[in-house]
Order: sequence, then C-alpha cells, then structure tokens
Amino acid sequence: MNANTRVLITRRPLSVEAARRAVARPDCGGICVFAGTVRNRNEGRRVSKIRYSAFESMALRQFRAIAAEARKKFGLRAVYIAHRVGLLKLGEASVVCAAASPHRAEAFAGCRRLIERVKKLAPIWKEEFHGRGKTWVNRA
Amino acid sequence: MKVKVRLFGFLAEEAGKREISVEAETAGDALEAAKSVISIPRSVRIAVNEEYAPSKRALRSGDVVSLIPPVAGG
Repeated sequence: MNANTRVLITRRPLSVEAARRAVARPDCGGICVFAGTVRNRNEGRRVSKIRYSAFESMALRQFRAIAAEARKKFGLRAVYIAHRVGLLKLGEASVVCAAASPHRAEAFAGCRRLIERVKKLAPIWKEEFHGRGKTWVNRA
Repeated sequence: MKVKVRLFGFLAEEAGKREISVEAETAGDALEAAKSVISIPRSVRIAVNEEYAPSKRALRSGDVVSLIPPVAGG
C-alpha cells in the first residue's frame, strides 16, 4: 500500500477537509478536491434520498488501481478517494476525490481523472428514492 | 466444476439472495447458468476474484464469480 494513496469506503459523512489534509505535502503547491453530492432531481424526477451500496473489497481494489494510474499519468504526489455507502440525504457528499501535485494544472486534471474513473469502474450502486418508490440508477 | 456466484445491486434484490452456486468452466458459463435463477441484462459485467474478467476466462477451483450490474457510484 502506497503511503501517498488513501482510499476508503465508509458509512460515515465524508469530509472535504480530511481529503485535503490527506494529500497535503510540502512539495505540492496545488491540491484539487472534488465532492460529488446528492442532487434533488434526476432524469426529470424529484429525488428525496439515495442509498448507495458497494462490493467493498473490489471497489477498494479499483480505487487503488485508479489512484495508481492517475498518479503515473499526471505525476501526482498524493491521491485520496473516499466513497460513502448507506442512506444519504440531499446535499450530502457521496464521493470525495483529491489530487496533489507541485502545480495546479496536474492537480485539476488528475482529480478529474479520479472521479471519472471511479464513476466508470467502481462496483458501487445507487437506489434513488422518490415520493412513492425507488429505482436502481443505470438499471438497464 | 461448482462455482460460487455473488450477486449485487438489483440482481441480489430480485434473486432474493446474494449468492448462488452453479456448474461452470468459464466466467461466461457462470453468467449463463445464473440465468436459470434470475434474468440478467446484457449490461451486467463479470468479475472473477474481484477483478473484471472476459466471458472466456477459464475458471479454477475456488474462483469466485461476481455479477456486476451497471455501476452508479459518484
């Protein structure tokens, strides 16, 4: 496990400040932190809350692989990826990614890469709750 | 050989269980065999031992297959 990569899945609220602290280093002048939050509408429907579930051990493996790829591609010095599971209210953060680099361009690009890859690869699912029922997002 | 197949998301909900056991030689066989228990859309991906794997992946004794519905993290 690389000391400059921190990944986690938790039922507890996520903290943007914890992400910033996890990647802060004296040789890095740029830290980019992204928070994905629960939105009140999706595909024209009002959303009241979301339940996230994960295949945790595989998702953590994916997070580590995603972190390693982004570190290499953008020369990042430290990476953080955290995802929450369980029932989340509107506005709460479901995911927080952070990337630290000597300069800002790589921090922005690296952080973008982290969240895009997490959304594409991590075995995590969400159920959106509406007035009456719920739906699995992306159920095809 | 007998293989353990783990179900997640709507697959687990609809099957009413998180795990089934099937006869399979490849990852793709395991998915096909699981269709006797639950309807599986084409969008479902396969993982073997917690890594995504192609259908033709040959299984070994003790391998665990997981059926991964379309992901929606973030």
